[in-house]
Amino acid sequence: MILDKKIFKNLDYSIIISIFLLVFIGLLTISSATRVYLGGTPRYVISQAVWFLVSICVGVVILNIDYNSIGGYYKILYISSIILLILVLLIGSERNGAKAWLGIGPFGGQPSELAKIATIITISKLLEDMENINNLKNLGKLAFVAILPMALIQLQPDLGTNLIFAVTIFGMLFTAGLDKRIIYGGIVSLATSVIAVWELGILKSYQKDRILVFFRPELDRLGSGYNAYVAKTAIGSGKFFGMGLFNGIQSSGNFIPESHTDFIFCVFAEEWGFLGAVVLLVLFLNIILKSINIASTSKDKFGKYLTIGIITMITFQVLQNIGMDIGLMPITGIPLPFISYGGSSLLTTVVSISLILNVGARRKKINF
Amino acid sequence: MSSNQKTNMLVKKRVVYMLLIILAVQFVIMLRYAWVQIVWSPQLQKWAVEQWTNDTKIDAKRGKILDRNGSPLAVSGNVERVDAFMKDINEAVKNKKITKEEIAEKLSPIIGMTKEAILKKLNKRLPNGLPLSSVTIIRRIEKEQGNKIRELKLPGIVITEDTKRYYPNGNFLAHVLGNTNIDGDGRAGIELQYNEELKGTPGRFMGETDAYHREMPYSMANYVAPKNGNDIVLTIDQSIQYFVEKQLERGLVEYKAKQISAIVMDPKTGEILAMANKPDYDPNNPVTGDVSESIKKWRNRAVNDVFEPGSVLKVITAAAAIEENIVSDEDRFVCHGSKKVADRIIHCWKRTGHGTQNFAQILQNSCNVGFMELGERLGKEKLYKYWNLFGFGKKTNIDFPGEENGIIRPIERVNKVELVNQAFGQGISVTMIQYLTALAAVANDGKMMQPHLLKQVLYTDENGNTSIVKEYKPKVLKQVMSAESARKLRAILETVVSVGAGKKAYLEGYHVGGKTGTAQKVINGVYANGKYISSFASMAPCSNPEFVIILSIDEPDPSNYYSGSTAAPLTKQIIEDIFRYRNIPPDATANKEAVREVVIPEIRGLTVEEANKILRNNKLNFETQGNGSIIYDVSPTPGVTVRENTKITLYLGMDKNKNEKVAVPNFTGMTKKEINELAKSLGIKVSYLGDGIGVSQSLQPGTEIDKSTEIEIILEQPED
Repeated sequence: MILDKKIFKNLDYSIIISIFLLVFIGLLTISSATRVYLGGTPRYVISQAVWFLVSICVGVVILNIDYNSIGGYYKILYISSIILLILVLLIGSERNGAKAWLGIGPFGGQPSELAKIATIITISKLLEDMENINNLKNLGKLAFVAILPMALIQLQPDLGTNLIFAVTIFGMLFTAGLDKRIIYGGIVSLATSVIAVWELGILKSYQKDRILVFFRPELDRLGSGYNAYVAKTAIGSGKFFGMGLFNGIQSSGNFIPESHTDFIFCVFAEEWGFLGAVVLLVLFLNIILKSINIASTSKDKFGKYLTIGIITMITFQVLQNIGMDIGLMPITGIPLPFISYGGSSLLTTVVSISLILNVGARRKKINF
Repeated sequence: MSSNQKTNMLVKKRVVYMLLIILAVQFVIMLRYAWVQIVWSPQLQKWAVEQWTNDTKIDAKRGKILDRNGSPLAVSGNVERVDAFMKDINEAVKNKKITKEEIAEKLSPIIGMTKEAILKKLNKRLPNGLPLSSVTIIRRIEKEQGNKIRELKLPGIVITEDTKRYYPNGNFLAHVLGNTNIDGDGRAGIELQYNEELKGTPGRFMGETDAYHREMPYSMANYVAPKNGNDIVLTIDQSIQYFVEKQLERGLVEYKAKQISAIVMDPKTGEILAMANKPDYDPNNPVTGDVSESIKKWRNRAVNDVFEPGSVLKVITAAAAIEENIVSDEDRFVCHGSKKVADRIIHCWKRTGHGTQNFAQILQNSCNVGFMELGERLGKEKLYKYWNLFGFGKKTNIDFPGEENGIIRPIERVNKVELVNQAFGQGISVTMIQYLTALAAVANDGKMMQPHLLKQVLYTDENGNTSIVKEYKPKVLKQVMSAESARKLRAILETVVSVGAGKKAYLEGYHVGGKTGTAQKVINGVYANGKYISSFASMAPCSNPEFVIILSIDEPDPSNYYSGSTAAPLTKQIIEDIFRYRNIPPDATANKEAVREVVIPEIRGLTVEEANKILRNNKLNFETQGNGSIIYDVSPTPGVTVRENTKITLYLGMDKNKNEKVAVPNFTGMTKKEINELAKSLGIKVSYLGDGIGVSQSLQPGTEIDKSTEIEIILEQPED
């Protein structure tokens, strides 16, 4: 493949550097969480590193294709992600109570990750073609496109991913000029449906437990409140300077559940302290701010919505993941972007960022 | 401004809003995070220390494994464990009451660990140097040992209940049950398959260690009771399993086999009633000597290994032929001992040929030429349709770990020769469970059932109330053939046992259907000399089968390996035991044609008393003519074959001038060993040509000969 030199000259390298640093921090933290230094298996660290290399390759390929050409395939992308979501329900394997994983042997991933990108691209494309989104026909169309994958994901069930979907799509519609009255109406109906969902028993009992315990974690600090409780004690033990890499006790004593995936931030916070967390958040903030800048100066609306959608998704994942560790959010199985162990999640995040870089590198003002 | 420009303006504004919202959210997270990590930190850290010094896991009791009638097959026995609670020990040491060395010294002789090893455990620390809350000194010690330690009243040394897996019947059902590892997790068999159900959820205890051994009422906040594991009820019937294992053990010795396996299934439900392999191992001591050698012994070969079924597969070819309507009762199959297929001469196991036969007879004789003909009539597409329907090449998905797929040659690579070979059972590999599931479909009027081992999952709560958590409902997989075709095939299978090659499984008064199969083993891609797998597949009662059986002997002694004389008699004994156990009465409509036949023994020259004993053993009645004490002649002549309970006539006289003529018996179908015994009892001489079982003889049965005459018998290797 001929690499487009102009594109690579126009890339935002501060975003790329931030990603490399975040993934590096992630690899260190995964090796601490899986206790490699105590003779634990290095499988996770190696797998994550390999996935990162694969992700970079995919990202480079994506950078070479104009994002508008990618956008042109939105129908194929959307339909194939829906097919995969149906397939995972039929032949997927169950992990932690959800039928979310599709693949043969070690090769595979979560189709819901692909569905996230495909849906963002599709909605961006639809939004671009709409003069005004505040009419019944257009809103209905958007709602259908958004709800179809969410319904399939709910069947797995994966509440966390759907939460990301909902927030991301709302962020995109908001940016596209969703009428204030609709927003207020949405809030009211959301409140109503939350009550309805709770009462009608759509949630699995462990999901209900997690939410209940979110409000009163002290109720059950060894049972369903255990995760929330241990997460906080780990962070609290880190204090300002942290206990030092590989010295965390909650992690080395194996007290933290899912410490290399969902609760990886606790391991990080215990070992790197407040100082480390500030560095981490600065890196994230750099990606977010640079991306919003790309969104506001993109050459077309598709690029703008695409960027806003992706950055909303990543921001919300960071908020949700860290928020659940410090008692701001209920506990869901959402990974921390770039840091948590998980191949398909890492690939999705890197691919999304390369789409943003793609939009950024093809801005009008630079190409003049 | 146009509406488009207006929208653009709005979008620009909204992007700025998004930025502000995101910044605000990040700010809130930062604030809260700072609060948790800096302000709230002292409290949280105290809790954390409490956790890593006082958090104790309480093991759940592993559930039992029971047979279908509730007899325990695997139980968790009551043993004890010794833990050291470091806080108490350190306090005692500080108060100069005792030293760690003294504790180690006192424990050492009771638990049989060296003092140094105990001390090492007592001095163990977390990686960061902090003391541990507790360490386990030893697990799974006997109650008496535990009591001795209790008497010592050592500070911080706590004896609590521990679980150990016991298999009360030793080797019984070992391969199905599997075994558990040191942590009590299943690592083979049912123990592995249903580990999640069996293991339960460990409890946690967090708080003052004193409370742990004082049995204080625990508060909700720091004690979670362990939830004991569920009990697994298997479909296995302990009695039937016992019958099977008894015969397998007998077969292993009697036929000097390498290994031997059998499965009994209820065709109506797919329930496995018995499943066994010999030799086996004792799951109480799963690892003896070399670990990888031990693991090999855990293989449940009935599910985890494939074999070439040979002639027992002819049942499925026959099913395809009936269902596809390509044979009629009028059809005649002529066997001259071989058949030419695409320039290749393929022999029947009987080189001298079976002559002209009808459809039922080719199954009775297990005639390869007849089945080659059926294969050609079916063609590969139809034959493969039935291989697929009957589930060959695919897992049955029985609830057992490590099931094999079986091996079927891809249909593109099947030419004329491969087609006819497969039709009589060569060049295709199946697992025993796969074959039996297929056979069960024939027994169940064409309805194939999902084979399974789990019957129920039970949970017993703290108050001893047992409830059913899960119950396996029989599942129909598919209709593989019509009920009518299945019944027709079963009627033929019954004749295989009553008059055909499966004679030695014949049970008087019962409808037993079956098929023999003796396949030469394939080792490294070639047929290995002298290495056979002899299988017998059967069902009973044939009119409405309650169970199907596959019994397979791997590498029986080459001097007597023929399925009809090894696997069939073993199976017969199993069937007879099951009939008796289940109180199934004999059926008057059963085929009488095959009443057992006996050869009249040489009793001339003996006294009536001596003869009486021999004749009783041979199930013969007699009457006497003449006076005297010595038998000088018998009618019919010794060597003649008659039905059991026939009345024969003994001619008595005083002198020893007895008749020396004997009738030539029918040696057909007998093994060399059997022929030798019979010839010896009649006092005649035999010589052999070839190896295997008798197919023809130089003098016709019934010919009266002098004892000095030598009879030449032609033997054939029954590849059947």
